[in-house]
Amino acid sequence: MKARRQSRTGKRGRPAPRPARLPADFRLLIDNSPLLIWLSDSSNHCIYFNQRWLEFTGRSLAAELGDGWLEGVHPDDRDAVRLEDLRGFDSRIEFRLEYRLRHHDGTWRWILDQCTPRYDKRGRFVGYLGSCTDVTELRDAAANATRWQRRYEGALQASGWASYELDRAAHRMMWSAGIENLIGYAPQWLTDAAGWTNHVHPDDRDELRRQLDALLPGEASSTLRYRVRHRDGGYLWLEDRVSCAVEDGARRFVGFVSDVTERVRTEETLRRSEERFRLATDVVNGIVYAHDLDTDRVECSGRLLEELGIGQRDQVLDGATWLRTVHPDDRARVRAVVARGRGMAATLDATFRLVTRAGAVLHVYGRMQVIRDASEEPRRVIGFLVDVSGIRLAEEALRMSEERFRLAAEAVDGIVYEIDLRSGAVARTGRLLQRLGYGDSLAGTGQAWLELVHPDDRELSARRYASLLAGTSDTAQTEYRLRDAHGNYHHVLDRLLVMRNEAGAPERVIGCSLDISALKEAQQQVLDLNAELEQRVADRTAALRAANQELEAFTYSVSHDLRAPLRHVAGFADLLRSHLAGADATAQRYMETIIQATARMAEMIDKLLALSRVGRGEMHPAHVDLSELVSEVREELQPVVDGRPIDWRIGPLPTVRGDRALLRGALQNLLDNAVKFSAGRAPAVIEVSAAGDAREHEIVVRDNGAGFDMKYAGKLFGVFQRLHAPGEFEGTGIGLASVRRIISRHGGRVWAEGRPGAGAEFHFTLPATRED
Amino acid sequence: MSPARKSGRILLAEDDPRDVELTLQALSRHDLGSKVDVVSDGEQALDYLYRRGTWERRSAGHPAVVLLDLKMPKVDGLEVLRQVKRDEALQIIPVVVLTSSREERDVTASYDLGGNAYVVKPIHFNEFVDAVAELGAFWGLLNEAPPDGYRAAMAAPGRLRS
Repeated sequence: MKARRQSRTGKRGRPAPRPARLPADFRLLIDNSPLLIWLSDSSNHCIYFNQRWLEFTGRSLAAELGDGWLEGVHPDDRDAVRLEDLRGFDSRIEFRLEYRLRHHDGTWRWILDQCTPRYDKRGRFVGYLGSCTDVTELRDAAANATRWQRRYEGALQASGWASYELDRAAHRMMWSAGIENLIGYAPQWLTDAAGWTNHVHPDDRDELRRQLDALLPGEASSTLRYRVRHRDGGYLWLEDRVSCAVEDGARRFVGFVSDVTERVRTEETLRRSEERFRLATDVVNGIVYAHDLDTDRVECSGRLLEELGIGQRDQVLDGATWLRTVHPDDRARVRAVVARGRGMAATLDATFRLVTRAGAVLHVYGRMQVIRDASEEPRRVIGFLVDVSGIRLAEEALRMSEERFRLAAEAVDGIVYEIDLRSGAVARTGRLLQRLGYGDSLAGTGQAWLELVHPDDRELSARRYASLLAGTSDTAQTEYRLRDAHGNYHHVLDRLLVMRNEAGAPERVIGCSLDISALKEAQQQVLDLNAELEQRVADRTAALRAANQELEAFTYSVSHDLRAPLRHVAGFADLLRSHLAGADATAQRYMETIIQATARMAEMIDKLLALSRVGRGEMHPAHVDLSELVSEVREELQPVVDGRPIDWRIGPLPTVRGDRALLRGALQNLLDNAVKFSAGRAPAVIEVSAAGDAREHEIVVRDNGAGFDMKYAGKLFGVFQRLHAPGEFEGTGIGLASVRRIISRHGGRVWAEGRPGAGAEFHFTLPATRED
Repeated sequence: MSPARKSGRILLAEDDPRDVELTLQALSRHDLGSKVDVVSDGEQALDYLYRRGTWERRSAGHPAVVLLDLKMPKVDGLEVLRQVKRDEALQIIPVVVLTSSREERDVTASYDLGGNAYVVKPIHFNEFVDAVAELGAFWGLLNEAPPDGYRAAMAAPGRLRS
């Protein structure tokens, strides 16, 4: 290709081409031909021009060889010759060129150049042979026709149209010049059908193809619409009136296209506008109507029609039907408005009621205008109706809410106020104002109000208010004393709400002041009562402490003073006994009884003292391993057990926090009891087990001994309470009282369960500690 | 200071004559009755120990043991104990606190003040006799002060008995 171009256009510095050496007969043949003939070699150099060519151009063979001949080609055609050359030489097929060649008389003659590839005997390509005919006369005739076509095309172009012919089978297309105006591409760029399809909007291609396929020869033209890309990248809508004809057995399409982008846009805008209009009537739940006064037809649309039950959303009614939807009570009024409207030019509006077919009442707002003709005669009434039922309800609700607000202000016996921060205006209302002696309402500035506040409260009150306005919180609450018209102060609780604009700047303050004097008084009373109560508690505590000390002194003196005489009785009774050695048995028995009784009394006193020590002594809390404690106590009880068979069943026991000595005492009492009351059993079974949860441990001491009647269960833990006769079991009746005191001092509970003859269970709990 | 001479006497400081009689009875059962000097209050007890007042002319030497009641008129037993144990000359004398009280504070105070033993007077006369006899036997019949270890051992039974 390049070689060809170089060869035809020539290149400076190339050696001058030399004419080919041709066989003499061939040369003779072409030199005598009436046609202008040239030859090129396989590398596309023109190597020969026949006699007729040289005569025609009046130039020498040497001048024409190579690219020299191009000098005789019309400058406007040189590029075309080259272009067409390229295609022909490259594909090595036959092709034709048309160009203007200068005649030796200086005129330009149109040449039709038929180019044919040449091959040697072995079939190798050796170059082209061109045979040229002067077609100037022919072209003049054609030019005439072309002129007509030009005119036609000009007209077409002027009208904004372009036409095309499409041979789908050959994929060829031919456009009129107007297409360039439409899409910016000249016809010669649009000769390929597939190329054209690429210009069509991808979304429209299938449809276009389908429609062309469906178009039958001889049928009336179809109008198609599709988008085509303009050279500048944008799309425009083309309308294509296309028809189909069969020529030489192939379907050919002829179409006229025009730019309808503007129309499509307008249509789209209109469609959108209609849709908006429809949506709008839907949204406001209204009806738009046009009443033609001549025909009495009412064209109306809007969803409200469906609600009214008189048809679809687009409807044509007569005036009477239309009026029937108006509430009977409002019809006369509506008629009057319409009648009035006919006499004047302005728009009219009215609010009235419509009744749906189902009987529901709708409040509507209507607005109408009478359209007149040139002679001022009313022709049509255009108007719309909007359902305002909801708005009326809202208005009613607002009215009710304001009423409630007013009543509430009355009911709370307070002052409700509003401060407009922009104007500084203050509005106050409420029954408290009257009670304070300030009349029905007290307007005035915030400063005037502040003057009424007790001097001691003024600063705090003002500060709170200022910080509310400055801060981000919307509410505040203050308490202050407010002077009434008589100079007395009332305690007031003030709650404020600040309303801000979108920027957050405070605009209004709404507040409510309540008289809390009574509350304050009650509060003071409570405080006084509390103080008094505390004093009384303190007094009682002191009394209790004194009583405790007294008790302590008492037990101490019991310990000393009561024991001493007892000891003396015992001592001297003993001494007496030794003097009664020879006395009779009765006297000796009496003596023994005295001694035993004193011993028993001494024991009781000791136990009683022990019990009082349990209650008074200081606690020494520590970790106490109950298992260890139980085995210690068991060890100690050996003398009491005295060889009796006892089946001890000691379960795993927890470590608790408590006073070791006290807990030991409690276990001692319980196990001692268990041993004592199971004396008649063989074997005696004594069980100690533990249960419990995260809060507390529960320890159970169970025996299979004498048991007790549950109805006396409450008495078990009292001092000197015994359920058994002294002869049955020994005991002072103090042990369980001690147990209860010990356990309750540890924050636990103790209780017992049993049945006569079926053993007893003693339960006690101890709080679980985190360390356990 | 030279080792104190011993008088071989037992000082019983007790205000209640009945207790005195019972104590003497108990001691006499072990033939210690004749060795007992009795005072009825703390002041006299101190006079006895310091050989002053009515006891100015008593024979010299410390008693083998002092049996000291806590509740006494004038100067009570704990005060006597305090003074005895504070006095270098007297602190060697074994003091057995004899009392009706089992009160913890008394027991603690007695030991804190250096009492050598604390004996709660038993109700039962026989036990009382045994207790007194034991005390007399240890300190009354022996002619020398018990070694430290022995004293500690004596302190223990006293405590246990309470």
